[in-house]
Amino acid sequence: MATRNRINIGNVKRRFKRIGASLRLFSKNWMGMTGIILLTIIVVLAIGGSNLTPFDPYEYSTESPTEAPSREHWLGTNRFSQDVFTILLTSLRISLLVGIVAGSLTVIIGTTVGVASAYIGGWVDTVVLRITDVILVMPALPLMLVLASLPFLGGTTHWSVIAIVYVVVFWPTSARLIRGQALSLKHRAFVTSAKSAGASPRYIIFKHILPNVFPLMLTMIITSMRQAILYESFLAYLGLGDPLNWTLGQMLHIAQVHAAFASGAWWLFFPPGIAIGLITLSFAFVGIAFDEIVNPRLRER
Amino acid sequence: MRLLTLDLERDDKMPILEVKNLKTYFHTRAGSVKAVDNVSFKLEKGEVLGLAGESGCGKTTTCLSIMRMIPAPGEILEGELLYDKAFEVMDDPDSVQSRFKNRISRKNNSERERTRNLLELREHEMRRIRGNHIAMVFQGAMNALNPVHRVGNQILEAIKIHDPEIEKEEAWDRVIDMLETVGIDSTRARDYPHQLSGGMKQRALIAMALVNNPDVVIADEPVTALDVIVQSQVLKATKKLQKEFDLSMIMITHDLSVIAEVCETLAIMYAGKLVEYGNLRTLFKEPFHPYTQALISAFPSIIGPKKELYDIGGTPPDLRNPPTGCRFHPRCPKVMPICSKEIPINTSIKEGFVACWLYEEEEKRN
Repeated sequence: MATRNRINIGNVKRRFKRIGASLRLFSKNWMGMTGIILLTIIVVLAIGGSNLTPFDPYEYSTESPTEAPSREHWLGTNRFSQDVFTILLTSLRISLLVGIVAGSLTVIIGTTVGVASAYIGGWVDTVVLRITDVILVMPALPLMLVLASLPFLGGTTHWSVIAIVYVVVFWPTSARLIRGQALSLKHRAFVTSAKSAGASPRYIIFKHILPNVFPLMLTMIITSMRQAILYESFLAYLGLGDPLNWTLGQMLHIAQVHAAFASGAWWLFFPPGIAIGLITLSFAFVGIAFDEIVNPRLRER
Repeated sequence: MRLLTLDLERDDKMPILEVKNLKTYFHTRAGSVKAVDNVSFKLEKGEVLGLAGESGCGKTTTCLSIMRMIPAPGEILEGELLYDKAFEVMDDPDSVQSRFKNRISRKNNSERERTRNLLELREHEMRRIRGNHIAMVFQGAMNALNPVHRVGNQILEAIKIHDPEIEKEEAWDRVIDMLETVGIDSTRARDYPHQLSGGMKQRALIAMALVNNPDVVIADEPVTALDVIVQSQVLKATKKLQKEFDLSMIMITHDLSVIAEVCETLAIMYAGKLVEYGNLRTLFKEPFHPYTQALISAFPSIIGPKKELYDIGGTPPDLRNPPTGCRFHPRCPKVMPICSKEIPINTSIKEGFVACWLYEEEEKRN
């Protein structure tokens, strides 16, 4: 009994050691650390949102239209006297939400379809491949524009609609990638070996294929989140966003509508632009760092 | 007690696994590859059978057929795979499901309860056979261990597949026991496969196959990628375990020295057919089939005078359209007119058989 207890304690210790080792690796990676710090700041700001400032992002007034940044309004105001800093914080929330929901959903759906298709094979695989082909041959941006402006969706362009559009357009990309990986795993000797030990297909998928595609999945989720934020901004900038909610793209759209460029009101388009850039950058950094940790071949020696 | 063991011994004379007229073809676009054609052999309890032959002659396909794990374009066309305890894993034979789904079983209604044919089992019943009754050892160097799981856990999972309710500690004890039996230190159980040497990986795979106490173990080229010293270590461990657990084994290899070390019976395959089958010692001393003769004289002997090694001319035949008659006739040094016309029948020789017209003629003359 005593030996068993010792083994169990050792087990727990080892597990912590392993997590610790990964964390140390991550903290040594300057890209990863920069990304994580930036992302933490952005997420904290997004969660705080308009509570962090004394202004309401949705309130109209005529008191101080289009004012340059000042001590009271850190990033100035827009034509409706709304505080741009408050708007920025509010926008971050929905932009990040779209990114996280759409980005992870895309990869989760892609993984499910990809692994299933690779494992089942035969006509199921063919049908899945042809469906993904249909979506992949269409250029992504125009397709998203069309989908987002469909009458039954476009009438109420809630942020979730844009998330769904993103998922619909981009799941085939991740499904194809994961399928390729799963297909090569399926023919590895350890899968045959597991089968010969009496493993069921479900067991093989969950114990042998999924753990091996997980690193790929992780990096894909991060890439996909970044991409979703960009595409949401893009659609909103083109006026397909939700007019009732502020997002980063919506801010750019309003700046464009209010002729901020022409009138030199730089505080209307710089903050959202820089915010998009920083979010994308921090996601990219974190992604690269994750990639290096799960893929030792990429590590610098 | 004494009587009981005697009884068991008598029972043991019955083959534990019998392959009868097995035919496995791969249906490719360019035609059907007749990978295994009419192969029959028996495996008795505690017997070690060596299955030898050149690359692509159907050794692995034969064994995958026994496990019913032939990949997609392949199909077991005919034959019987008689395994002693096949009926043990069957669902209630009278349940509605099996009555509707199991068409083959309906044909021989009376035999259903004590079926021995693995081909009559359904997939989920077959899964109970795999690993638990018939286990397979793969080539360790060819990542037969999953790189993302610890070695011990992979063996543990092999137990859990067949006994999901087993307590983790009990299962872990069995894993440790098994690892020590095959000669791996128990501290290595927490290592990942890449931390083990080739020989250790191979032994871990053997442990994984044996952990559920199977009756039959099929070893597919278990030592091929290892160097000679490690080969001998692994083979010795295998032989020891085989004796200890009284396992029946099928050893696939193209290396006759491996077979000489562990096997008692030898089966030689050529182009999807079993050409010769018999006791290892008799066959090594006095091979009957010209192919076996060639194979054995192509192998250097440490003792005895030095002699030029023999090589078999020509290339292995295309199994989509194999040569008519005896498949070895285009390369056979003792070819006769009848060889290209008719498929030779199995002629019994000392405790085995040979499929060659040379001996058939002899038998007729006698």
